[in-house]
Amino acid sequence: MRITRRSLFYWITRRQRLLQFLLLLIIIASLFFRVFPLEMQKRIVNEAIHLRDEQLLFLYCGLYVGAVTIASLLKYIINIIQTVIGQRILVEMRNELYHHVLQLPLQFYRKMQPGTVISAMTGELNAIGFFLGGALAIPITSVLTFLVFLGYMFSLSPLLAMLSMSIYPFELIVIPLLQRRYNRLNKKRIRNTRAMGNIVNEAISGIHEVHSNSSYPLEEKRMSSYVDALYRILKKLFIVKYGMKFANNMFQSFGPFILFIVGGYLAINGQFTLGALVAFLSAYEKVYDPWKEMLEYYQSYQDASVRYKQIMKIFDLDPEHVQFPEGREPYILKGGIELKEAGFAVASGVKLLDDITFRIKPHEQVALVGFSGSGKSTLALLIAQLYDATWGSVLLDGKEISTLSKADISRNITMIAQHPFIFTGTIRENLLYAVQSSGGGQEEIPDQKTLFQIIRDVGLEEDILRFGFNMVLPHERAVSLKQKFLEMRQIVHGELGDQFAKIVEFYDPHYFIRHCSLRDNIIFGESMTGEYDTANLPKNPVFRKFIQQHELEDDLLKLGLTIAEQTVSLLKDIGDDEFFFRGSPMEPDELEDYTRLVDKLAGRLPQDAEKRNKLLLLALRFVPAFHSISDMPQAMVKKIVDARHYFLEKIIGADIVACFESVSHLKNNGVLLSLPSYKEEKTFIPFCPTEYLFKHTLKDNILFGATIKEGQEAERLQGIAMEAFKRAGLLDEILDIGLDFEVGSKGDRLSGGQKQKVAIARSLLKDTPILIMDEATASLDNNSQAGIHELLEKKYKGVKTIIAVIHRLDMASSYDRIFVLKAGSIVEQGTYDELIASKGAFYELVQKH
Amino acid sequence: MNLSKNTDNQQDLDTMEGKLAFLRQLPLFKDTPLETIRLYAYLSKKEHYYADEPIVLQGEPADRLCLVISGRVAICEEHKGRDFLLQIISPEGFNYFGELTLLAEFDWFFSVRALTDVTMLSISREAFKKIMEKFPEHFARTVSYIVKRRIERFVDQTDYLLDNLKEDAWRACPERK
Repeated sequence: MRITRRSLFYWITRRQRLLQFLLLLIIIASLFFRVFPLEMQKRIVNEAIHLRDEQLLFLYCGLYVGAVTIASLLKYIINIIQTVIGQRILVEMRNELYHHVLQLPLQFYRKMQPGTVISAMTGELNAIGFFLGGALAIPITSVLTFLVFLGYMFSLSPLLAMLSMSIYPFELIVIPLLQRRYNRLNKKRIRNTRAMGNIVNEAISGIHEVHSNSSYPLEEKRMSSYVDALYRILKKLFIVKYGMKFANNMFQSFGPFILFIVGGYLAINGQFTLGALVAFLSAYEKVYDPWKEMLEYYQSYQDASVRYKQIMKIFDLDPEHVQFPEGREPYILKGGIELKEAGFAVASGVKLLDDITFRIKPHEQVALVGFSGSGKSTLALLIAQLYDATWGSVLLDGKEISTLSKADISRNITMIAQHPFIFTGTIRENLLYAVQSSGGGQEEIPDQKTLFQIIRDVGLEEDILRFGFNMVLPHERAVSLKQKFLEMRQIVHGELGDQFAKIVEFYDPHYFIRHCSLRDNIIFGESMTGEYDTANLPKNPVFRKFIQQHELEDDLLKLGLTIAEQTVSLLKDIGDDEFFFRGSPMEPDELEDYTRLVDKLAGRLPQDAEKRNKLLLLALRFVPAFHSISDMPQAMVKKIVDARHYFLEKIIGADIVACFESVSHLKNNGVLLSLPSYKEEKTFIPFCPTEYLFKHTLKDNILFGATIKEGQEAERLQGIAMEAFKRAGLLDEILDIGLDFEVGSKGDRLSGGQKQKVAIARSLLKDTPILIMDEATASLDNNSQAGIHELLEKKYKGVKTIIAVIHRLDMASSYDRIFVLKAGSIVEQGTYDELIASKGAFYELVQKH
Repeated sequence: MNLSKNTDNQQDLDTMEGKLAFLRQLPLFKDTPLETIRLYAYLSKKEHYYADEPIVLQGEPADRLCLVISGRVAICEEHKGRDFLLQIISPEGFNYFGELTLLAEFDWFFSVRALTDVTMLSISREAFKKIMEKFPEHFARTVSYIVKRRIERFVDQTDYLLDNLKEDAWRACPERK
């Protein structure tokens, strides 16, 4: 049965049966322990108290407590099992539904708002899960409990039992009436929530448009109509809900009234014992519990089934094609394509394609050209089985395409869209996305060589290298590749040292580095534990003691004060424009705080620890070469370098002699000395040439210094250094690292061209006999476009059948044949030269360009 | 025509106060409040070039106004494969270039090269724009001042060309009717 046609109870009766049975057993067992205390109550009053027997009192009380404890424990276990059952069924339901939803045809998604699907698959299903767990157990328990208590009451007094039951039928009439009203409102609520989800989803997806038009009021208005409607619905919903509660409570309170009148009368007249009355009252109260549970169950069943139906209704559609072929492996096709009088019309009846007939031989390369709206892309989608021809036939190697499974298509056809989708994750994951799922499950992950070749083919290498250079490597990976990176550092400092010295101020423990912060200048290393990170330094007692000893603390405080005063006086009226803060170590959002501080201090250094920390922080962040807000006090320069040596040697315990040696060796001979390797993991890594800085990017590690002008260093690294790295066989490592670059949500951290190249590489990696490109190079620059076309011509001519929707007609000449479309029909076909010579529609198009 | 009246080249441009002192005596900032000039000083950059080093390249995006503090630079335009010297810039005489970059986005239509060791102070278009956004009331006057400086340079360059005109390139102005 199609998943969307199943009833809610289909899941309950067919899933998790064993666990549900176990639950039932426990429930039945628990019944005994719920009735037993009632009997004890009666006996305590009638026997123990009446006979003034203390022994008996203790015994009954003990039994009472024991039974109550066991009953509570069992209730606890029942709750847990119930939740587990519900959640397990929910997992199955969600997975199966998602499987179904993913396979629904593209047309479905043209009409369906993502917000609806998302809200259905997440929140709405969750609410059902809570119901599912107890769907069978709760009604059974409640009915049983109800009957058991009722039986007990009858055994005490049939008359009283009958009387107290007389109220229940009224409830059976009132509650369902209210419930029906509740259900109607609930349906409205779900529809409204979905619509609201869609509005938010659309605004977020189109946030660029919203910002650029500053259409906030418009979007808010769209949203607010739904918010208001939801408020009105919820208000009514809760009125009805509490109405039901009110009715319940009322009925419940009438019971004792009858009991006291009748029971009291009977007791006074000696027809009923006091103990029995107490037990009866308890039983009456208890019998109401299962009754209430049944009512609640009824309500939550109604609620769940409304939700369930609303969810299933939207997805009630069959997938157009089966996922896997039955009884055979997916075909491996040669790549012949034939269309016979095929056409495609949308639901309204408008024909987008009509009477398309052609035959493309395996390995032929065909360009589809035409005016916009002529049906080129629709034709490409038909061949890719993404749309189904409304009439006529589409054949692949003579096989009717509608009879092929998704796996057949995936194994043989790759489609590159004009605006490809990039998934959240790394570049590598995106590149392997298609090849990992080409059908059948026995896909081979391409080896590194193939992967790199395709990356180079599509012109992605430089981009990925850049990503690689800018990454901070995971520790293990850095450890294993450390030697290679140090080799690169050696190239930059040795062989290319003169060229890089102009754009990078190399780390040298003997010198003050003007392009580094004072923190870096003093500490001169990175702290793996974070205790020597800038933000933590002011509160680090070791560091504080150290700067006091070296008479740096007051200097730093004074510098911090100067910076704070200057920044405040210069920028306090400027606002929080980040641009103006580039020359100061203060962040725009700190200005207010420092303004208050400066006002309070009135030019004097503070004694208060917190205030001192704030000033110290500014000074430690200060980079003399960039922060023009203040000058670097020259007297501090030497002090800092001296203190640095002391810090590294005495406080960190670094081998400073070896460090000095490696610096001079690198400077004089252009070669890194290999240092003795340390066994234990270091928590502090000084800026010494033989050290890898684990918390810095790869680029920082290779340059091993402070950048003088942002941007130039990257350029030079990509330029001259790249050549040297390539010669030394070091580039593949960086390429491999760059593949792990996280592309962000929908690939937002990639440029349009990069996304397109990733999509092309992803498709080429799959290596299918048929490649369909729908203006796949349109968002690339001219060079890259030409590169891709050259690739198709050189590498894939005679290898792949290629159908390319193209916009730039100058690219058309490299294709074997050109189909010209106009208003949904093919009006011309032939080679470039033929079409130009015939001076028809194609010629006309070329002229217009 | 000299943006700087002061020809003392030994100014300390490493400090903000030094930059401020230098900028304050420029005619450009004659009517500008001290607070605003301080912002310029804060956002300006000292640049140093060795003799023969290129400073800007024709065809690259023009991004800043440069004030030559010391040394001499040559402004040349490549035209039909030949390099023409347009002007020599030194602290005496015309001591600035790139004034139009503050007003519009364009690519350098000339190259600038250091003839000696050169020290300059530069103000980027971005900085100028940001300051103008904060103090729009100065904009009109500043634009007018920059255009006037541009005209002066234009006149100077045209005069040079006319002075050195070959007879056969001379065209008579149409006579009045």
